[in-house]
Amino acid sequence: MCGCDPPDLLSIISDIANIVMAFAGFALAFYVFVYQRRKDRESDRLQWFKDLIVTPNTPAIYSFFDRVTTIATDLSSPTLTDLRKSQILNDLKNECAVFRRTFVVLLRSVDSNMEKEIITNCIDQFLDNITQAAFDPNINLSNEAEFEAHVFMTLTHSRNYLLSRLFKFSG
Amino acid sequence: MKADIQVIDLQEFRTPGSKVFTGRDRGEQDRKRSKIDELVDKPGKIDLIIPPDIYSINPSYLEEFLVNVVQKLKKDGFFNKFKIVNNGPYKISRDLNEAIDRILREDHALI
Repeated sequence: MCGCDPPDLLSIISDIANIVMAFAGFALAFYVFVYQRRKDRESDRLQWFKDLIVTPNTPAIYSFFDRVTTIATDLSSPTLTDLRKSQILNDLKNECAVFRRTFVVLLRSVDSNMEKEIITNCIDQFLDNITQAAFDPNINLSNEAEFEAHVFMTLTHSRNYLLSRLFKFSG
Repeated sequence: MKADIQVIDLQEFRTPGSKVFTGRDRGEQDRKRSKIDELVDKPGKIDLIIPPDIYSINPSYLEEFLVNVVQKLKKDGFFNKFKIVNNGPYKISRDLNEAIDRILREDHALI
């Protein structure tokens, strides 16, 4: 027999509490480490996305929408033949194809869904809406209000969609 | 023995009075109606006829209409198998190439 006093209940509880607190502290530190590392990675990806893709192409994005707006304005002429409408649409499609190849394709390197969504909801939606409006006998694009509704609003929607989709990228 | 020529006439899938083909939904619908995915497995060429008074067939439509055959044949195989019959003023080649490039974009690094 050692002759020492057996530990009382309070001492045992205190030891257990110390162990639990130490473990909780360790778990919290580990969680903060993992969480922070993940945040840092996301932040790095976001910064690379901004530096390599968005910032260098910001002028090209606005320039693209300026050019297609200028081209689409020709559709407001009151005396367009179907052939002339088709030529204007071809010019728009050309701009869209170049924009896709020079900018949208870059998005695949960070998020292939973003590339697909921008092709579908920005480029295609804008081209399809304007094509349908140009050849719809019930729509008169030489009327300012109708041009605004069917062409200008479509372009605005496409531009806003693109910007909001880029903004939503979270790394 | 000469293989038969299959024919897909887009006139059959045209909305009456419409001068354009647009939209993924319509492309998918017409892909199923035309049975193009089955025709492509038969021997011989396929004539794809574009009505002469059509003024636009947008890449969105073509991408869905041709997605399976282009994935199967790739670009060169597609142009070997299909003959585009187009006597109207609308020239489809740019829209067709854009649609094919999009379909095959997973195969390419930067197209």
